[in-house]
Amino acid sequence: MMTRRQVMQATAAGAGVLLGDRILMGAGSVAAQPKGGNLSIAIYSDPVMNPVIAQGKESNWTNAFLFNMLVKPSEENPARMVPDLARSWDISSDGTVWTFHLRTNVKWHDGKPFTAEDVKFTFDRILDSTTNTRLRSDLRPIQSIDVVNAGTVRFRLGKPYAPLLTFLGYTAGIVPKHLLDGKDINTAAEFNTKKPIGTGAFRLRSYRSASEVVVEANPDYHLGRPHLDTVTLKIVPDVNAQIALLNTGGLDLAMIEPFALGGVKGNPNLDIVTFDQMTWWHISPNTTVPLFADKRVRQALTHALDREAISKNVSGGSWPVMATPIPPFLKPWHNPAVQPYAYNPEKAASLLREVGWTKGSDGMLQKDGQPLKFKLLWGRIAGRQEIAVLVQQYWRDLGVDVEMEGLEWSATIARFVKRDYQIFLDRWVAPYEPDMTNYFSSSAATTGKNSAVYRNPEIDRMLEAGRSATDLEERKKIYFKFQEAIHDEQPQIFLFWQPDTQVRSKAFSGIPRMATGLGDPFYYANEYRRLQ
Amino acid sequence: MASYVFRRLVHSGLVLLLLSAITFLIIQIAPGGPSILINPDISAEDAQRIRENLGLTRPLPVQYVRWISALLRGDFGRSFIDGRPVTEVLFERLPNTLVLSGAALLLAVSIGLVSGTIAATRIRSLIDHAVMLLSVVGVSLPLFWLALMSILILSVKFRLFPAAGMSTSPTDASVADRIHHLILPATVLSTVYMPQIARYMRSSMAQVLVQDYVRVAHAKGLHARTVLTRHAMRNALIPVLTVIGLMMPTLVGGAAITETIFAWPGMGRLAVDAAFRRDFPMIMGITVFFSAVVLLSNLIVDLTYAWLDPRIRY
Repeated sequence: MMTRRQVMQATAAGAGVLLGDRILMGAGSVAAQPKGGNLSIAIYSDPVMNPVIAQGKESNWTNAFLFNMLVKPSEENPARMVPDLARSWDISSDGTVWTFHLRTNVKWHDGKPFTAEDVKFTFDRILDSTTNTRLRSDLRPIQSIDVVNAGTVRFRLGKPYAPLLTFLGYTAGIVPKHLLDGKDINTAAEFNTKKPIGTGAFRLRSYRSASEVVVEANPDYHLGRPHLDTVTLKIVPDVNAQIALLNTGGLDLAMIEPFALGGVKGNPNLDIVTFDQMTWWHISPNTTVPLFADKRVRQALTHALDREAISKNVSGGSWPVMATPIPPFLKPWHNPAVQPYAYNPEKAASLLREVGWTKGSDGMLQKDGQPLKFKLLWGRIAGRQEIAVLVQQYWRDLGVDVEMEGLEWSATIARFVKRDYQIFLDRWVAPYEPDMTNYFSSSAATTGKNSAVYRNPEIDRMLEAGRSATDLEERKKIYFKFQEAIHDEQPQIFLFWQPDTQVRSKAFSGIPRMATGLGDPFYYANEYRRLQ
Repeated sequence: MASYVFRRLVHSGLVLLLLSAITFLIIQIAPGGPSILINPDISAEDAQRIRENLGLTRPLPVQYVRWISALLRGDFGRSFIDGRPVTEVLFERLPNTLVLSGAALLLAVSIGLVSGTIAATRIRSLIDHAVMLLSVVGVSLPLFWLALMSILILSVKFRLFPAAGMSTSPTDASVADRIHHLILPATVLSTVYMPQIARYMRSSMAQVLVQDYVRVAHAKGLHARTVLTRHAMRNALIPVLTVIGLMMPTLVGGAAITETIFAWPGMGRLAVDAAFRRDFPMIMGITVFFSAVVLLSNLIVDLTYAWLDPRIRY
């Protein structure tokens, strides 16, 4: 077995165990502060209150109040997992056996004790191919889950899988065996929409479809009763209505895209806060299209874009230009030596000249009498059109004829899944992980999120090595090299990072400074307080 | 009569069957697919597995026959999104839409009839021009704009009405609180119907008022108000009632835009959500339910004609 210290380093979980204790102490020592009150949060549609089959923000957020995971992202660094239902964990020296020691004082909302059986049940369901879950693809390396005793559970992997901890803390809430065993979890509507039973700081009080979900403080929560009495998740599908409610006090917290922020600026009762998250905008050339097979073409397309100017235009400059998909805040994995390509139209033109594209009499690029021409696919939802129009302009200035294909969202994603496009503008939302297998490995070229349909044996080897590395320094070295390679290869035209923009009432304290998207801050809802 | 009703019911059944088949086909060929399958967060491999679990890999005719035979047993299926039975969701949303559309229609009918009548009795007067101008404005203003403006001015600026929702808290809301939440969306939605009703009422009443029997009534020395309400109104109402009758299905179908902007949990929003998420069982359920209501209400209207007018016989 590895020493405890090694384990912590290899999994980047170091601060976690200590932090868990601090939360416990904190809850007891501040009894003089105000208690009670309600927090209202906006969600866009009906949630599914079962983390195993849930998809989408509304479900992730709601479930963060009702359920716990084995581990959860830390407040200081979301890439670091800290204890949630697991007190601590050890990894065998070969990295294939993970043993989790569970908290023993945890009860389900119906009073039954939480045990290792529930953990095994949850992950067995996730790995079962008849379960409609999106968690499975990330957890597939798990071969079996054994209950050692009521407070200990052991995960066996086929080979070392460093990202495991991240994915255990990525919306993977634990569900009760005693209520779901023997039922079809996909259609257990009684549990999923009416009587969800979790271990979370809040339990369901009421739910009205398309109206609201009300959760109330769980008096038996294992970290102590939450300070708030209730949290209301209001289902408000229109962003303008959300803004009206924020302004009139009908809502206390919402995640608002920067395009819509104008409506809340200047309101003295509201704070607009932004947090780092693993969400990046990209334009992915389909590298199976001969034109995009040469990396110089991809590099040229990046050099031709003034990404600073585009960011200024669509986000007021709040979206930093990116170099690689491992962002500066993702410590210790980010390689600071790799910097974004500069805006350099001359360089772009010369790179294309190397490949044989020259300017014709009409100012447009051509080779053997054929124009440089392709179709840009994007979905007609938030922000895509604004970015696409600017990109088209920059590339036209370079001499490229870009035809626009802006489609309805479902149709766009269906085309993406079939990889039926020449070049595709969109954004990715990734877990806080340097493991980019799902985005750049040839194993994900047709079945994952590898939007560039990119196949490169050298990159594959690096990603594989990064996944199975058990030593922190070794793993870090691999990802530093990966960033250099991916920067040179430019399989995607990397645009910018989109931080999470949260609008919240000033009447609350204790809401951690974490991105909202996956519901991470709501796993700390037991610490929230209403001040007025 | 009985055989006519029977024939009409059989016809309605066939129309329903055809409608459901067309809808089934359309949602299948619509680009994309159920949102849980096209979420970029799931791998294509998982999507394929889910597709199998949902029965979407079977040939289309087989899927349709399975769906229709379940329907005949009263089973509308379950939502792809949260697994809830479609009927349960429909009957949860229906009352909300009845309240909103009902209030809007009531408002539109009462104001529309009165203002149309007043305009007709004072053709080319200032008040007539005002009513006609307002009705043109009402018809022309986009509903979403009106809704947002009313929220911005009446809710956010002057804090007169709540900005969204059906009540402050759906679990313990007083009647007064519910009405307070209803006023803004119902008023905004009524502007869709009101101008039509006012204009129809005006022209219909204007035609009736120059009829001989109205002149006779006046000649008899009847009070002008009695002529209007006892004689003219009844006949003027007939074409207007047809127009109002045509608006009735929206009571059930809901108003997607108003419901979305005001966060009103009604049928219109349900339909739009289902369409965007490609929630096939929900789309089919709403279509069949709504079509059945339209067909049935048409049948009732036709039967009412025969009852009202002895010259019509089936």
